[in-house]
Amino acid sequence: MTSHPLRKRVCQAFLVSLLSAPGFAQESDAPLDLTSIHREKIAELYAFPSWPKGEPRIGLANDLALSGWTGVDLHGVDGLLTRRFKRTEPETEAVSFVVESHVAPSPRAAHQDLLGWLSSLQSPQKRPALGELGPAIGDVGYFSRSGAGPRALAWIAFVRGNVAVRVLAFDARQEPDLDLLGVAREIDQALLATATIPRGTKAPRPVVRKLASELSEVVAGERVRLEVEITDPHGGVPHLRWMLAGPGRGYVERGRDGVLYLYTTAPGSMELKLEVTGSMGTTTRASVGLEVLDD
Amino acid sequence: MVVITGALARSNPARRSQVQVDLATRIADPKLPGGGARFGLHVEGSHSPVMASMEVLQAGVVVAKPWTGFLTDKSIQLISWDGLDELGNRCSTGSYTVQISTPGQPTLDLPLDIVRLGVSEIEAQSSAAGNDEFPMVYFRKGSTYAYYSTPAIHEYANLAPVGEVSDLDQDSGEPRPVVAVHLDTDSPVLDGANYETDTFNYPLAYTMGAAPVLELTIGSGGTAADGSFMAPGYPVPGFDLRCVLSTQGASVASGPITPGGTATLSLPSLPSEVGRTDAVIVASWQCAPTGTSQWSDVPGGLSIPLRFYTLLGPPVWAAGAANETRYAGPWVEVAEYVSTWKDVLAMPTYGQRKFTALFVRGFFGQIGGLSKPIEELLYDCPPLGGDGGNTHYFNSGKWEMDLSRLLNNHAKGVYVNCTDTMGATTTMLSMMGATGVRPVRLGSMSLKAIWGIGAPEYTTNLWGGGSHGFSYHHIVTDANSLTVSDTCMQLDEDGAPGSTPGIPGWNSHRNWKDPVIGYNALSSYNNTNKSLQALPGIY
Repeated sequence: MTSHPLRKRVCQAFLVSLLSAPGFAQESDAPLDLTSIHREKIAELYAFPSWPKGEPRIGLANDLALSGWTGVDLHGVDGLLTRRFKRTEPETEAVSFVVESHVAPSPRAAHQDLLGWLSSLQSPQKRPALGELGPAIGDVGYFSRSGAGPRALAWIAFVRGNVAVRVLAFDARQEPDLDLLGVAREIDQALLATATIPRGTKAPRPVVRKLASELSEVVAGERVRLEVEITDPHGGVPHLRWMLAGPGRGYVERGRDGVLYLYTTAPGSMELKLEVTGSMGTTTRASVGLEVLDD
Repeated sequence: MVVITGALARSNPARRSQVQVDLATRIADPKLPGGGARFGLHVEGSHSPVMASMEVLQAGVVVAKPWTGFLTDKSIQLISWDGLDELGNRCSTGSYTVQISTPGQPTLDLPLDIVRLGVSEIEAQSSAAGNDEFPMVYFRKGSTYAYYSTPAIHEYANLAPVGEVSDLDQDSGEPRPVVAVHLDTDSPVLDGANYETDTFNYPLAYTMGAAPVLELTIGSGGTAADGSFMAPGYPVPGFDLRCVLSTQGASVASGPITPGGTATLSLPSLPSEVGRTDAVIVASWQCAPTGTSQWSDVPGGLSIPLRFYTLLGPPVWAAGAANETRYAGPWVEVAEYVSTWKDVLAMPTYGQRKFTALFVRGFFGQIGGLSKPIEELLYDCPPLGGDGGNTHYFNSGKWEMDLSRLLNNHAKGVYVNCTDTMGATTTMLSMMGATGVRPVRLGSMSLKAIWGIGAPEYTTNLWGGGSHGFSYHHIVTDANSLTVSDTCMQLDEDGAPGSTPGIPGWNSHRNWKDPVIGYNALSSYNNTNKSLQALPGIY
């Protein structure tokens, strides 16, 4: 990897700065919030307070369509959505890149996502702004080169309005010429094409109109019918994530009759939780409790 | 051996000959492997062979002719009846008469009851010591991500699929075969897109040294040769039946059993170290006249394979983790990884220090028979084709580790950083029962020579271009950071820790502040700040 002399000096200066942090050169078991200290330093390094706040948007489509790519394995956890992409032509099983996105409550909250990603870097070297690669992508964004080749990028992270996006090369050694920039630009275009919402308001979330169990008590090994009614604010297909808090255990799946059931497999009280990610990436939660009796 | 004085027979008018029954099965289930009814006969009172035959009758009608031949006084004639009738069909359960005939003499009638025995379910339970048995967890559902805890109601199920007649037999009347252990480590058994509910044999998890307790559900009836339901054939008036489990040369017997009832049996203790134990338990049955303890074997038995994973102790999870109980047991994939490392590296695992020593080497790989790190991970740095030590799998905001994707062929990319390896290490060690495991957040480090995970050698140029330092680092402790472990990088113990090449100093319970071999001294030129953090959750 080649290193620009100026950037190298900046990086070295940053490392010295980090090594000069309070507490340096002393052994201390005093409880330090090293995470916060580091995050503050990164915020300072990247001029976080000055990041521009773009217009908030209704979100980013779960079924994000990228030309020439097939998205697989959509997964949402607490609003952080992960999708993997493979080449469409030629069709392949190999994953080329991963897209993470979060539709945050506000542009500032999305900035915190980006700051979190930057803070996760162990290297003390500052990453360049996306502007170095050409026309702007997002309101604010950064990227990093990979050691896999002179043009290879490791990741691009940016914020557009209230949506934070990170695009990661799966294995840059396998695809050193992967056009990660083009992918990021297409995602940004998709975001620009979505409707904006007034500043100070939150993107519309899905609504769980009903989550109920047909019975409040079942014997372990039995299944119980669930009634679920969800409204997606954009008329799309929401993504469901079921979670159980026990000690009762079980799982949720659709029976051969097409009905949604909770299948119980261990006795005890249980809280069945449902996290719904709407078609544009916003989330909501609901839960229902029931008692699973010993068989 | 049962000796019954039989009918008088006269093959030689000059001498009385008498058929002696040396062995006679009273209750049999010929559908069990080796389950044919057994008989042993010889003749006394005659030095010449005596012609004889054996027939099986039900309600006075001959259904089978298992044997015709000669009896002598020189040896016992052993005869087995496989429960098939003259047309080769399996006889149904019920009472039969085994009739031994010699020409011109009264027959010798022996009662025989055909029953249907078997095991339709096995539920693993904690031993008398309490709370030492745990479910195991799968994190995939075919090609998707979903969590599945092995069912507490039965980890082994061999039940009739919907629409079939009986649990113990297929609709053809043939016995339902024993279920093999499910060997996949990521996804449980599926039936199409749904979880399988009738047929599975999931691995079991116990704390090391525990004596497993198994509750066997005895089948209630079978399927006749014509496809109809067949009653179990017992209780047999005047007799009790019990179940016997044998494994590792030891046998334990249950109390009297009833059709569809259960038998709870305790097995010998499992090994007192972390690992995998593949065992075969043999379920067999005995009968005795009611009120006696004269137990005799019902021929045959079922050999059921079981897989046990042994843990250091009860799994430990992040306090207040939202989905804590979904992960109430170790993930199968993690237990199997650890067991494989143990097999390959031949290291002991009977205590937390030894287990951690194995774990660090196994996770990091590139030692002994482990040519690569877990999931073939690479440290995220330019010389390895990566970047600047980026986090891919750890969600710092939620303080949760995306272990599912890491263990699914590094689904979010091949590169990891220290936070990823810390997240994996703390959660994996804890789910295997290690206690007090926590992350240690380190401040900035001006590094000495290090060997990053997946890297071919030690380096003093981690980021390329001469840059070699961390803005922060994450390691692991179970001793409030007095000693630390690190699966992200190893230090150089060749006496010149600031230069390459290096000699691996494995970071397992490494003293933090020893001036010569301590982590602080070997890893960096500066004294590094550190702070303890909470055990992460998992998703």
